[in-house]
Amino acid sequence: MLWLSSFRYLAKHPWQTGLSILGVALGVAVVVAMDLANQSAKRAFSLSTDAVAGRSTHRIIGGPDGIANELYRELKTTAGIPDMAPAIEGYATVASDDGPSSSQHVGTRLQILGLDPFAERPFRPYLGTQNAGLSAFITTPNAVLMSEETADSIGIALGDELAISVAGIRHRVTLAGTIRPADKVSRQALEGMIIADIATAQVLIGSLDGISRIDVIVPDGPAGILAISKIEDLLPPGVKLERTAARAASVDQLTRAFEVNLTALSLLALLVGTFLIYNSITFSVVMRRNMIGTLRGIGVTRQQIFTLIVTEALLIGLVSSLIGIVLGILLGKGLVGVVTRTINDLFFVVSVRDLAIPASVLIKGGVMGVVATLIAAIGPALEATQVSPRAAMSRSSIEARWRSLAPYSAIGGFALLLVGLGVLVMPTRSLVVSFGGLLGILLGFALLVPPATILLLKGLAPASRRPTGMMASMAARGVSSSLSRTAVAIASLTIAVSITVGIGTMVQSFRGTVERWLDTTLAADIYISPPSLVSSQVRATVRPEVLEKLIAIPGIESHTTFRSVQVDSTMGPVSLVALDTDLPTFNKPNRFKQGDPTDIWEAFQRGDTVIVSEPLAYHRSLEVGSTVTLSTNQGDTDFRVAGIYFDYSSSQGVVMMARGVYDQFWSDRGVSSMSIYTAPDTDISAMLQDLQAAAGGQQELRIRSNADLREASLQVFDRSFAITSVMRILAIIVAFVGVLSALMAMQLERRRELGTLRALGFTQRQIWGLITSQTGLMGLIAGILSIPIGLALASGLIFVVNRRSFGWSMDMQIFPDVLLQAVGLSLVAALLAGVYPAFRMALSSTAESLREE
Amino acid sequence: MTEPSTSAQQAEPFISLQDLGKTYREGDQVRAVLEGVNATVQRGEIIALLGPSGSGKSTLLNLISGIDTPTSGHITIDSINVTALSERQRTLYRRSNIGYVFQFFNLVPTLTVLENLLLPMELNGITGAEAKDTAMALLSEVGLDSRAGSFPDRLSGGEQQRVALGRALVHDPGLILADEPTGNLDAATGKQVVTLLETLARQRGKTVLMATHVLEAARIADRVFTIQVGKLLEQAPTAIG
Repeated sequence: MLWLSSFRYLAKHPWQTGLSILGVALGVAVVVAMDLANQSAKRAFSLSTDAVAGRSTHRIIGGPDGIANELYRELKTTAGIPDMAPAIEGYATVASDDGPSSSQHVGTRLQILGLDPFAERPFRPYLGTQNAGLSAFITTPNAVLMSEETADSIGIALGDELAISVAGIRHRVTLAGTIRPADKVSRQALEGMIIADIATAQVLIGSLDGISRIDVIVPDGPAGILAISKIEDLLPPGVKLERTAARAASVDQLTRAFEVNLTALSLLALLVGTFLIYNSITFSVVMRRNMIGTLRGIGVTRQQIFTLIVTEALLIGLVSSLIGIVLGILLGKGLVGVVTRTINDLFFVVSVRDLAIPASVLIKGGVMGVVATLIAAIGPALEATQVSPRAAMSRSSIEARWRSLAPYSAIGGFALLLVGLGVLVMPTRSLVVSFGGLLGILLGFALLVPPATILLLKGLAPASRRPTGMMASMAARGVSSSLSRTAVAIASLTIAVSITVGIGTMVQSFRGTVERWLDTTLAADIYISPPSLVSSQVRATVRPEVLEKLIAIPGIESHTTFRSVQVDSTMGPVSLVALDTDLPTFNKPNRFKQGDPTDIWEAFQRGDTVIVSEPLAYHRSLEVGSTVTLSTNQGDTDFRVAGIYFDYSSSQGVVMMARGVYDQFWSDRGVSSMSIYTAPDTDISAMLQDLQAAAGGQQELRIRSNADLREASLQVFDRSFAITSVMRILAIIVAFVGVLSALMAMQLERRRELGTLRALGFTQRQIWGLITSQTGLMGLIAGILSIPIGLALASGLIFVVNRRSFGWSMDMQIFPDVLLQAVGLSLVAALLAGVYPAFRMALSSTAESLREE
Repeated sequence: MTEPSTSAQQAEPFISLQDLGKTYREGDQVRAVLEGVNATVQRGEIIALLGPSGSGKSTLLNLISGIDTPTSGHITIDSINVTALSERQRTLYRRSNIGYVFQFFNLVPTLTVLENLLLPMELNGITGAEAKDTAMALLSEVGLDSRAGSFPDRLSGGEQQRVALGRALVHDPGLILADEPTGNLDAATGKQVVTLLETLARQRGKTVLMATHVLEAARIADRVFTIQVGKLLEQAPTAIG
């Protein structure tokens, strides 16, 4: 019978129950969706890595110069290792063409994998499943293989030609065969990949006398140890043997901070959902005090009451989690695109076509939803056990008790704030600990909301009474005298809105910092680089003959060239930029975080010095005077850090050295990009056309003016934070549903009181006004309180979380539009929450309302 | 019955109910609560409506106050056909011309005792010191001026109903509707409240319609009506002793 009464209560309040379920379901959906998107991107990358690596246990890698063809031959013959295969990798995009691939596929990313078919069999078994003979693959000029799915997706068939662009250079390849792997995982792994004979791939990638790596299968046991030793003896300086798994781990490390941040953001949405369920269950207990008192009176134990409330929560949690999982899968399909784009912009090329749905992610999301609901239910369930069996407490006694708890709430809030702050400033770089600290601060602030509401309303009381009479006073009094109902609703809204303030301020502050940095860094008039698939890295090479033509154009006063490569170091693979410039260009104002610019320039010209970017210095604890050991063609070489410079283009960090020094240690003479300073009074648009004409036909280059590059950089920045904005919006939606449910329930509970006012002569418009001014007031309070909390959250994100995640330092700025948006959002949510109760009161009979007890 | 109705019949009636009917739909069934109700009430009369729970007493008061609308018939109060008014006009009419006393007191919980009295005056545009003085004077009359700053749920049932009486009279309406004013009180307190209602109404010449199922309460009435099977019947003075 107890369960029946509980079930009937939930069924009798469908709006309240439904909105609670929706709130938690949305929280779970956001967590599941984010997890699915992350996992899908990770899985796609791992599948593609596995497909490329095949069954190799080790790989031999070189520096920027790659590995000479001769080394492979020498190793194969001298070391006597049978299972060894050369490989070359690169990226291409489908280029526009009048062939069978339609324009809709132009720009589709493809990964090129060049292999030696005769050495391949032990490594990549899927190559044996092709439907064309090996001879066609080797003998057809520019022949490539791809999976049937990839061929279908770009609309080409066997024998068709396809135009592709590699580092801005156009090529035509012929589909000589399609691969049909037996299992789904291999099919997925081969999506977006074109496989060519190694000689063809070398032509496509522009590396005629080098390969990217040599894959090796080293046997287990002593034979393996011997083989490794033999290989290492034969490797020249700058070329290394490493375990295949080690490379995958370093790539995993690249995106870890990014993933942790996204997960934390999604957990914030669940936190808001938890507040909502707490609010909802508290409210259901408050509304049923009389009934609970009666039940206690007829012999229901405290334990039974506790179980009843917790079981209700469990039921809500289960239903919410199930709905949340389904919504999460749908949402994940949308989010995976945004996450993939950001990874492509910032880290590496990955192509995700399908959403991976591992059961573990769904179970994890479901369990989190149920656990969050149960945690939220414990407080109200304990509260319910305190209801006296003799008589229900009077309403004012309950409210008086809540008010008397306010000072304790304040003390608890300050204590949690201090604990949160303590955790946040702990000397650790753990992101989990940092977010734990932020959570403590948020919960501390949530506890401060009830006392702050009382104080704010005390302050507002005289002001509200004077101009508008008793109506405004009634609205204000309705909020402060019903703290048991209003406090949690205001706290939920405050926390949700403060999250939007915090994230908004952080993103805008970061954008402002990046804009100022771009103003400092982008001093040249024109920037030239081959197209790159990863926006933040340009690893391709400008053809030397094109470069010569470009710098010969009249009107160029000076130019700076950059060579951007990845080299191995004692810290793992790092980005290295070789800079060929002069002092005025090098010594830009505010460029350096540490070190004197003049001293740095002098040291920079010497052979043993580098400068490092701020993120690298942070992640690797480098300071001026530290040593960086890079793997060069002369073996591992130490370089002294002469300065630390600001750089927001890469979160992994960059080592920069003078071009002369680079040339001394590596034989690569390529140029990845260049910047041009024009003579005074040069017509920049005419110059852009001249440069384009000079490169035309030989290599497609991105030739951009200062303003264009600045805009493109900010576009990448905005895209990188698109996912953050999506999370912010989702948190707002969860909060909105929460507030809607809380305020709506509160107003619906006042039906009889509002009926009395109607009987006394309040018009429908006045009732409408009373309800919306009360919900609006709650929204206003939440909006006002969310500003300091949001700014505190922003400080935590800017000075602790971002620093620990990416190593960037940034200035915090306060943006009035972000704060106004927060107050506006809060007000609108609260006002809208009043619409339905007001509408329902307008429709319902006053006589009915008066009859209800 | 305190007075015969002969003199009242000669003057223009203050309230006139003509063929009043009210039905409710309950699923497929239509239930008639009131049918063909005809009655007149003179200004200053105190009328008791007797009848068991569910007989339609509250419905009749709701129709007269304009809170609810009849299915058929007309209600005229002080020459105004209430049934012809729009919902808003009925609200404004009720606001200034009717005082309501409820069984469960229905004081606004978020307002103090004094503010509960100020509310109807503010709705009628009376504010400031004048309103406060009037409200305090009435609170003094009901013996609760010392509780002016208290919130309703700190008061006993009898005290709350005395505040409700004050609220019903404070804006000087012509008609007081009392729906089971003693229904939630013990007998002694109920008697005090009814006596207070009679005193205050007679002093001010107010017309009172009081729905009750307590015979004792009906003794203050000039005339007594009962509702039986939807019909309004006037009782002979001897019928209630």
